[in-house]
Amino acid sequence: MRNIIIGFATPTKFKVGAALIRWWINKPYSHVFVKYQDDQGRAMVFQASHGIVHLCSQERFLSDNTIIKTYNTNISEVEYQQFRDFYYDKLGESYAYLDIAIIMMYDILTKAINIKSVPDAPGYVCSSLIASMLYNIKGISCNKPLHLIRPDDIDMLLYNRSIL
Amino acid sequence: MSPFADKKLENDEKLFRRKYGYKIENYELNDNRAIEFTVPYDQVKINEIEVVNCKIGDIVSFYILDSVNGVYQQTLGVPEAYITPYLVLNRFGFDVNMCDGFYRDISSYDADLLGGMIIKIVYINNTGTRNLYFNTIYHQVVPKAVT
Repeated sequence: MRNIIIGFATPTKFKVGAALIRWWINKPYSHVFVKYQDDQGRAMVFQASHGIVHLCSQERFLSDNTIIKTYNTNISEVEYQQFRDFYYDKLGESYAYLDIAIIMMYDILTKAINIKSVPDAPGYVCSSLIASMLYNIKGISCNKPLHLIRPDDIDMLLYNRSIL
Repeated sequence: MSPFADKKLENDEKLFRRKYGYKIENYELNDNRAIEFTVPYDQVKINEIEVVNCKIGDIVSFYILDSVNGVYQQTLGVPEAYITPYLVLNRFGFDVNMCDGFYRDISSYDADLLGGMIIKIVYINNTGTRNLYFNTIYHQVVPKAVT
């Protein structure tokens, strides 16, 4: 078995976009990521950020971010290989900046006129990436279209499951 | 059908087979070190690797790593500050059982690797100290000569 961590973070320095997301979702974090130990024993982070889906060292990640909360989970070797395949497949996908606006539009329209479907943009935001990973590796999903999932939806999902 | 049925690719690039041998002397019992082979050409295709003087009971894992400067991550557009040296891109051998003498792993399809990327082999010697030999077979992708 291996341990992976799903973490919630926010930039250490003030950034307008992150501040807007924190305000919109009313949480102290604006970002969700996965931390794992690679086959060389290095602590790595998998995330959609800085315009692209990528992996970086934990050290690099922590130079820009403060971790607010984490959930631990164990995954089998088979699931870990699924995770490797997942990140290899998603590496280089673009960051779906437009989905941030679409999520906000969806939140407004859902409250106002109960609209349940809005278009999505190519690529991933942090929360849709991690939600997709959780679905592909652990078979769990949020009750929402992938591109509309916010970081706090994943937090709620993991909290309710008392982590997997 | 072999992935290398024709040495000429669709865009007029050509394939040239380059076979490299490596030797490790006195590989000791219970050694489980990582043996790394760096791709020596700008672009290659691989589908084959050989181990000589292996033994039943020995176990091998294979990995593909990005280069020290993240050549694969660069092609994807990962910002330089976030490029990870020797990023583990994937694993393609899981505690593979060796046979006595000569082991050849050959795939019916090829993988594309870039210069500097690393084929990492973790060889667990459960059977006794001996010399080990590895052959890596690259199919170098050579662009059409500019006239």
